[in-house]
Amino acid sequence: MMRPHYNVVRLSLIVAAILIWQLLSQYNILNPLVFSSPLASVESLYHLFGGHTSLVGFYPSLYATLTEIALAFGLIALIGIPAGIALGWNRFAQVSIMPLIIAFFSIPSIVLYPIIYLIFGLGIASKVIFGVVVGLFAVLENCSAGAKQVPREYVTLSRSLGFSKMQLLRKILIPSAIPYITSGLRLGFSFGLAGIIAGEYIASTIGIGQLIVTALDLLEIDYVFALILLVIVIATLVNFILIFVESRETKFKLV
Amino acid sequence: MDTRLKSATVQAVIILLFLLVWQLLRSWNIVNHLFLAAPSELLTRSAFAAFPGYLHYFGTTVNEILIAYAIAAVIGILGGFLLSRSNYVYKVLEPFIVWGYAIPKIALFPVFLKLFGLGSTTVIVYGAITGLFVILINTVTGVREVDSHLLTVSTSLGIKGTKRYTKVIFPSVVPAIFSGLRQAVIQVVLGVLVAELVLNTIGVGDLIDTLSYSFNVVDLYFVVATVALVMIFVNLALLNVESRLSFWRR
Repeated sequence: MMRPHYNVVRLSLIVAAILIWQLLSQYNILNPLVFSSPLASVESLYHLFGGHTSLVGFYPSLYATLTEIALAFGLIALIGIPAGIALGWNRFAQVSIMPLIIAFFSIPSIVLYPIIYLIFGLGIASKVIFGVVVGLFAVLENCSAGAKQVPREYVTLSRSLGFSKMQLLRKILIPSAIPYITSGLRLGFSFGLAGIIAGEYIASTIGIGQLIVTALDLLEIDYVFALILLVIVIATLVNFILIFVESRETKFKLV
Repeated sequence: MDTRLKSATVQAVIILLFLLVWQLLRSWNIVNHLFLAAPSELLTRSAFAAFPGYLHYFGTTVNEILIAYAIAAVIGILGGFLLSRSNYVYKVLEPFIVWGYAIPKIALFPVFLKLFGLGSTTVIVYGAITGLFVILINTVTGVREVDSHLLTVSTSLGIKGTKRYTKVIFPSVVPAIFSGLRQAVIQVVLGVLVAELVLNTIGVGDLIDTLSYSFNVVDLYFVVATVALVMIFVNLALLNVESRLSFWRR
């Protein structure tokens, strides 16, 4: 039997799921107080972007959440990549500092959020810091694994070729750690975004998560779903971009 | 000085420095006492005295964690084995699983809230879902990476059906599943606490949120430190077991 191509099955699964969901909502088999329909959520999202809505403050919320994401992700990359590579490269750091980092990040990060918002307030800063706390470990862990797996022969070779430290870093270490770095960034982004949204749900004056809570309080289920859809679209989009970068970068092989 | 002693010294210095900075932030009044409790304040008798009154919050939370974890483990492992039975089905579903792992499930929390209400059910369902993926993915990867030579040999020896699972597949999959189960502990605990903090109705999450809203910082820091220390030790113990398991496999 010929089996259809994977993508054909995948696409039909997605279409079928959306269709079933739409029909179930249309005939009120799904409780309309709990579930919006695909059409209504997309329509509400369209209204949110057009500004024709009873739900105020969409653009400021979107702007706040995107700022938090950009700052948190930037900090995660900026701190995580060099620190992770250094940790993996240095054998002593590996046995002395890494266990402390593992211990710190086995704390369920969410219990730290109330402390963070007490100190940094309910605005953007507390979410950025919390996003970093949640997302940093994945980057640290993966970059350190990436630096650890660099074959020692390359290092020996580079020494005998008289490479400087900078050259060693740029020509050997980073290229061979790239797949680890990008997958760390992808995980770090996912966790960081989840942290930011959670923070906005729990205590925040602004942001998409906070707007979802408001819409929920107003029983505006269509808007709740529209905003959830928006968060999922943002997460999916960034993931796609990072996967794209990953596949392009990994084409560049050392050998 | 040997490496072990040296690294223990470095660790001790870092921890002491951390405690010192934390203490000084408070002692020199850099951060207001409404927001920060110093380590010295956490060691006073009054901080310990309040704690027994909070124990029932911990009871609720531990209960939820255990149930959510059991659900995640059963569905994750069974689902992992089912998925890896057919290469075709797995290939079709793989991007959905990866996607499900990558999207922030917290975004869907309002749906759970609407479906299951403000109580334990929502917390358990959310905790189970956060822990599910890592077990599922590890199980699938483990089963799919079973040495193909082993499978060929077992086929030619006529090992089939259940025996193929109990004698060949399970033993080589155990470390992968255990790794998933270990990571799921943190995920489930995190999921349960996130749900409790968002709901603000039950358990340690509610306790932490309430203490923070009422600026009861000493108790807040005490409870947070307790959760943190417990989870650090649990995770270290699990990592220890895991490294032994993989050692035994070699």
